Amino acid sequence: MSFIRNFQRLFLSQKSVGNVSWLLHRVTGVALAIYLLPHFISIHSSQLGQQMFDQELNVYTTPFFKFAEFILVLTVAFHMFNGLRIIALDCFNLVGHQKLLFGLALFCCTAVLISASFLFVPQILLSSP
Amino acid sequence: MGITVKIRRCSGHTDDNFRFDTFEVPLTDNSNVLDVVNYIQNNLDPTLAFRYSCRAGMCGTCSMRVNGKNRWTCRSTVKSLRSKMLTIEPLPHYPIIKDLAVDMRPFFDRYRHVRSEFVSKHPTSKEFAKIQPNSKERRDIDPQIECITCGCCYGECNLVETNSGYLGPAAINRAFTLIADSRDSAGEERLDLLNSPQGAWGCHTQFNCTDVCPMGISPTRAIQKLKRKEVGHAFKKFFS
Repeated sequence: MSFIRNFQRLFLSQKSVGNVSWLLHRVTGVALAIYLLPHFISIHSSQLGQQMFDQELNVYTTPFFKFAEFILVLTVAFHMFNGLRIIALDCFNLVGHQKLLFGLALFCCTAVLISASFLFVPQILLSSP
Repeated sequence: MGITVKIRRCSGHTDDNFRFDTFEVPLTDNSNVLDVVNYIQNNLDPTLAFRYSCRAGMCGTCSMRVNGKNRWTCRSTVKSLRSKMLTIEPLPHYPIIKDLAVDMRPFFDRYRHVRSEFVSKHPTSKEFAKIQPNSKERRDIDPQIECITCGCCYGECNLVETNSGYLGPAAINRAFTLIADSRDSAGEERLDLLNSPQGAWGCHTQFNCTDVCPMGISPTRAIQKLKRKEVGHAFKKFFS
């Protein structure tokens, strides 16, 4: 309980741009690291023959996995654009524009969200049972 | 016109046994938060402990956490907070002496640790050093030198709590102003000292220090510049 209380006090009570960006970057980073494990297992099935690989890939055509793929694209997009923001802050004298840079990162994520919606929403709807 | 004030009370060195006391305080148009706690101590509860000195925004002793943000209370008017209630707490990340008075030793210990004193290259010289106002050196240092050591940034920085040896924004900011100063001779020593997870690399650019600094200083800017200086310093050492 004290861990949750401390986490809430330290990381959720401050709603500043820098804090929110820091927290989201960690959350998306951990999510991507977790995703890599089943991803590697799936890719490894290609070594076990074409039938096995097709069977494995068929699992990912269900609406649940299509939706998960959509979320994955957004997660990668945020982690990438915010990562570029962090690199810009580290390498150039842009600290005074950190809020603008975060806004830009969110804008790019929104662009990815809209573009990905065109691709994924029909797939999710069409693959529904 | 008045306001409800909730004050976190604590009598010991740990903040485990705390309580919130509520007071009703009358206000004038320009009342600041320090006036409010002064009124409570003078008229409602003389046992309330807090610290202040100059009342003019220069000494940096009256910092408290007001409505969830560290502020210099002598220059924070109640009106500017736009709230019907004030919640006043001691600065986080400091040992509490009593109520709102905290022990600033961790802050100043770290401040001293980075060699915060100026070490002249030419201590016996009678000549003034000539540094042009528009030089890069001056432009780097100027925005960082008005620190009044109020400790707000140290109290707001999450890394101070999660990384126990972290030197904190104010100390690193001070070190940067001296490292960037061409008249100072201890720059390399400070660069070596700050080239660690407890120094410049401990900052995760959360900007909490920048958001609360009452003087408008951005310690994050100093730390980011220092990180670049650290990389240059490491290359220099490697090839020399």
